[in-house]
Amino acid sequence: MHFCFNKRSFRNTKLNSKGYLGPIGDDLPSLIPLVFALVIFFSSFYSTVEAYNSKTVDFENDISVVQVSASLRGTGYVSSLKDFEKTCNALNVRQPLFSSGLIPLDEEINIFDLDSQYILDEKTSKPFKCSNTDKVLTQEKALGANIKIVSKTYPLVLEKNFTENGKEKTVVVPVKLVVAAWRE
Amino acid sequence: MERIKKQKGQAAITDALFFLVIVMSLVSFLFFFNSQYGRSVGEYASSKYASDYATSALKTVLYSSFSRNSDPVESSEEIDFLVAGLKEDYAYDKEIKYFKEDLTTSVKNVMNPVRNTFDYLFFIRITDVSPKDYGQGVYTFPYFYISRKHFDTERDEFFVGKVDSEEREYYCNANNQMSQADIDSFISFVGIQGQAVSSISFPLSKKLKDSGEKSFHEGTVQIILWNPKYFEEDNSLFANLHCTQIT
Repeated sequence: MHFCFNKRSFRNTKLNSKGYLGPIGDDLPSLIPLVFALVIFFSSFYSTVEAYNSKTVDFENDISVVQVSASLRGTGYVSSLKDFEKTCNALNVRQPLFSSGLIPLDEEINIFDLDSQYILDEKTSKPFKCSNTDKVLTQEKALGANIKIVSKTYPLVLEKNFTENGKEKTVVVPVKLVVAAWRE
Repeated sequence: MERIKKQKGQAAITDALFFLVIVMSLVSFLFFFNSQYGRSVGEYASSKYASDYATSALKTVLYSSFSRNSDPVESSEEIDFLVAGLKEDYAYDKEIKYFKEDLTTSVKNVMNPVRNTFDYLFFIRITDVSPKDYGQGVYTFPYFYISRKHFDTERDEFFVGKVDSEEREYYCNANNQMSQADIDSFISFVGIQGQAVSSISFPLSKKLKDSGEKSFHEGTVQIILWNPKYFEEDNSLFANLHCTQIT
């Protein structure tokens, strides 16, 4: 009787262990979807975090440009360089770096050469420029992998006072305010 | 029960498949978040820029000097504010004719930096047009200018092959046939992106005042921007504005 039991048990074990590969090998088919799921999850999580960071930086740049331009536009009327500089000095933006100023309305904007485009004050020959850096945006920098550049333009009027044939003359001319911001 | 105990491998793979389903739903959520994040902020930023630009443009047009003769502004002997010229023009016959082109040139120059981004219209609207209309909410539009992109498309059997855009300008409200409702319908159709309004008073000449008119006509100057939209000139909403293309 005892022998019979062992024989049956042996037969059953042999039948049930067909394709048995060991404790890990037995779960091998279930490991494939597990690994697949983990790979997909972490890769999509990584790409989401990357996109989130990238968009957040873009928004921060946009917000900074909006703040700078809103302050510099003021009432939309620039009465003098002194008035413009006073508004500029009230700005407290450290990042991103920005360069802004007044440019003739009919001039095409070249953000890599803004310094030469800014309008000069008739009396002092100083440019209508407002910036938080001495660094200049160049094409080499713009081609860099991690640089983000935001540029916005708004129309404004600039009061020009000058003397012509001994007569004081005031003209209000339309100009454009350019704000270019970037992170290095 | 015995049979289930022997199917351990199948239970493991079912667990793994459940895990996969949960992870897939999480991944779907991440992709959805990724595509939507910042979309509303971006749209708001674009709309804010359009509104800010419209406000600045309106101020610039109204504050700018212009030359009453053909000389450049800075060397001209006869300089005045454009808005003063418009008031003077309106005062005699309740129309804007003499400085119409100066206003159009000024508007075009100011809108030049965004001409590829936005279509726009610029108009002056007067309320209480004449004594019989006082209090009736009747408007006239002595100046109405539209600049828009007209798209020409070349199609083959299945696809749009080539799209060309051309900037077209119009003066509208020919023969005073347009109403505020026509403008509202057109604006609803194109979808407003940014706008700015400023009120303005137009004094009338003594001759008109003597004929029973008010001393001033109250009016508004308005600029409205929208993203370029495809429509033909025979579109009924556009046709209701009674526009004539400027050549």
